[in-house]
Amino acid sequence: MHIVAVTACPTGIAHTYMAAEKLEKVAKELGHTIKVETQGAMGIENELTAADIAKADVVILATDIAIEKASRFAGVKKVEIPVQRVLRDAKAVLDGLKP
Amino acid sequence: MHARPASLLQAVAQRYRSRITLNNLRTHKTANVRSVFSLVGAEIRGNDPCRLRVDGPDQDQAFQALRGFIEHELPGSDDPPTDDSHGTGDLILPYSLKIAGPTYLTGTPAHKALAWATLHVAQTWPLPTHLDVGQVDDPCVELARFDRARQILADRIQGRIGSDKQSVEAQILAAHLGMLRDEEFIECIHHSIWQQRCSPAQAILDAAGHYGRTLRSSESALIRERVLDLEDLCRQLLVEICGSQVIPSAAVGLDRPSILAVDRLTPSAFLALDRENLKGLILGDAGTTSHTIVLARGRGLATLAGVPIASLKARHGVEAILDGALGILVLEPDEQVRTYYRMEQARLAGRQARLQESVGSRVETLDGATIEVAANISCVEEATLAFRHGADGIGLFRTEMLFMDRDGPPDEQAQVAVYREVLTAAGDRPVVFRTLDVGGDKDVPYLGLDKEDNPLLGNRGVRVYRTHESLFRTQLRAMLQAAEHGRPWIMIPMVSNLEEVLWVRSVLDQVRAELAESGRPCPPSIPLGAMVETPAAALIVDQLCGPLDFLSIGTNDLTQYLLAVDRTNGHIRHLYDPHHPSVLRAIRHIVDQAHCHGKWVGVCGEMAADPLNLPVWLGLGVEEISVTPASIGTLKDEVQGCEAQQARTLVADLVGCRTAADVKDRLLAWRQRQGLFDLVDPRTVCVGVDAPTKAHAIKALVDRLYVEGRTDDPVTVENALWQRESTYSTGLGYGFAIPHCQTQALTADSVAILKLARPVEWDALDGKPVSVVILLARREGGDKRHLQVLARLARSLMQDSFRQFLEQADDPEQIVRFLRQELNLT
Repeated sequence: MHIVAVTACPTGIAHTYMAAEKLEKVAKELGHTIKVETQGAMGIENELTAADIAKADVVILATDIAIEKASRFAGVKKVEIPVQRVLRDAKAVLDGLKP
Repeated sequence: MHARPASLLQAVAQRYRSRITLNNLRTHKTANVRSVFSLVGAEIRGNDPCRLRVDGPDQDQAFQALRGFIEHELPGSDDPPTDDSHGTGDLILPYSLKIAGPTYLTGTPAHKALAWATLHVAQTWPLPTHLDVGQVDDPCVELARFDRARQILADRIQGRIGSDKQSVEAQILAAHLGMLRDEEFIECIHHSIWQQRCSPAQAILDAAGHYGRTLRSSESALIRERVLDLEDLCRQLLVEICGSQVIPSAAVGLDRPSILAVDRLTPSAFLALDRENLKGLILGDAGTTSHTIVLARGRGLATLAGVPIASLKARHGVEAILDGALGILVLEPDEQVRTYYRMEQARLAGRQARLQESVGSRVETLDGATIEVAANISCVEEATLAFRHGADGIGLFRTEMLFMDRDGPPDEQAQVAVYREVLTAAGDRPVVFRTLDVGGDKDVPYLGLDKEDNPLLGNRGVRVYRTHESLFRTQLRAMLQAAEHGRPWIMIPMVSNLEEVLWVRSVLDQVRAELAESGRPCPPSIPLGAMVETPAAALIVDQLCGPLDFLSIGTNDLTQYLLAVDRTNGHIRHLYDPHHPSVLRAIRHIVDQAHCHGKWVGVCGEMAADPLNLPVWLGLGVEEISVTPASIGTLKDEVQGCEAQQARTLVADLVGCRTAADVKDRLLAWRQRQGLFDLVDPRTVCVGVDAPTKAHAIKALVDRLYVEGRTDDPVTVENALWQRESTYSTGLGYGFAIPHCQTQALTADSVAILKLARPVEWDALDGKPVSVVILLARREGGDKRHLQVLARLARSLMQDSFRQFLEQADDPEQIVRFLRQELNLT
């Protein structure tokens, strides 16, 4: 599967990046391709383009706060979960995805 | 029913002539309603059945009036004064203290230290049981004397109550008035004078003893504490009758380590206290820059002002903790609260030890500018303390303290001895002796200075010398004779014109010549300087520089005279702000002018002690700042992290500021920019720490940041971390937790690590306890690059090998090397 994701936590200095790392790591183990955008204290990094989103089989929004540029995901099939869920069990999150 | 409602009931009863009694059917005690003491003695509690009996010519009216009062007014009249002080205002407790649930009172923090001792609520002095004032010739005359004294005192109390009937103080004064008008009390004293031929003074003492015993035996603490009111009142009556010479002064004896709570304390009474046992000071009525508080700060004593002392009387003798930083007095702490304060003691001691590392040497800025950090002292003991704290000299020796609290001035040899001792303690470091600075709020009775309507603009400092010239000459002689033991400088207080300086110069020259002639030890010359503390002196600095060798800016008085604000007046205290642009402009003018004329300039007011103002002195290039001994370590530490060139640029900005708030903002921002700390440092890695709970672990990490000077406001940092914890736990599983926050309260971005001896519950994602805690603390708006490092650290924590290393490593140096390498820190 082609997965894209956005991570964003309340303070934006730790969990945003831990969740991104975890998603990338587990997706790779499961044989998926993934691109993760982080929205932390440094602002948006590794930003998802319209093409990235169009190409993706599924979008994961692992966020505890309202994200920037949310309109990009209007009308797109997406999974919205709290950041903790990724940290607790990223594999279950990815296993539950259907293209 | 305690004294205040009883005094109200008494007042109603005394409007009528009938005999009125109240019989408590529970205790079978009958009270005379016209007597507060009698009512109090009847031990009336809520819901006790009582019988009111009225007999006399106006019994019907009296009964109706009493009934109306008891039904409608009495129930609302009894709210204990203790509750009044529990208002929390904008007080913010650190999370770890809040959850411990302490009992506390609040006040205005006057010195941020911590004291833990027994609470000593100073009453007036204990009354003597016997006073020898001679025989009574005519009891009629003596009765009249007593009644006159009682009337004068009643009028005075009434005057103090004035129109303010609602305040706690007014209510307490009203109760005093009730006692003073107490029928039984008066009767008892009259009886002693008339029947037993006692002197009025002895009769008052007997009555105080008798009613004191009655009150003390009460089952109610509220009533027992009224003993102090009774003693207070009797003491005032005694002073009225015998004069203040016969009645001893209200000296306070401390027989064990104590936190002293007292309403008002004069500087001399403060100095008379037992230094060993005085651990903390609570003042009911004092501005935060009054001289007593200035003295307390100099001793490094935890000090709190504005606490209603009356509300503490019942707590005399209990265990107490005075937290000067939070501005609270904790009463009767339980074990949880004690644990918190043991950590606090360790935190403060740790910081002190860290600061000691820079003690003992002259310090310079990063770009090589120097400034001396000297001490303000009042006595020999403080000189020793100052040098222990690393003072580069004594920038202000307030010699007037030698002259206070005694019947006459110290003689020449006694002064020589003290000056010699201070000079010897200083060795080759200079000691600036300020000549006698009395008047204003520092009264020395034997000088016979007139009471003035406006003492701060009155006969004080150098102005007193012309009328007390021999006293002044004696002091100069003593200083000159002690001079061979060190490096004394002489400084004149409260100068406002050139004539004063020229006059002192000529007197000093004469005294020196006389000494030399008589063959006594005397230096060929001695530096003479003046305090610049009046706007007049500030504007003629160029002229003062002629006859003088140095200047010292007294910022407290300079601020109050420039701003026309009496700093002890509670109503306008908020207007007293040394960051007012006018104060900075005046200081710059003084320093620039003095330097133009090649003179040395020091700063010796409280402004110098605040590290926030350090760039002002560095930027202006003053030669010395002189501060309370306790502040020396922090200041020396900070000097070494500053750049004088940057400070010069800052000062140029500051004098252009339009408001005090703007000045303060810029100073704060500057100080935060100066933090030259590494993100990771072995000093903030703690291995094998025992913390019983998550709250303790977080506090331990924050305390470490404080000890290392990475924050001056640990409370805000701790609470910011808990604010984040409240969204969801930072326990990320695998036994790791990463509490984190962004706040302005940090001096430096920091990663601190705590490896716990035993895992603690953290409510982690995998439910397992935590043994490695990594604190990420970033100053809001700080270095962006550090965010990238923190992000890399967060990502690394998802790698098993990274966590494994941190789990196993137990050497802080090794951990820091590892982090630097993994996170690409150079």
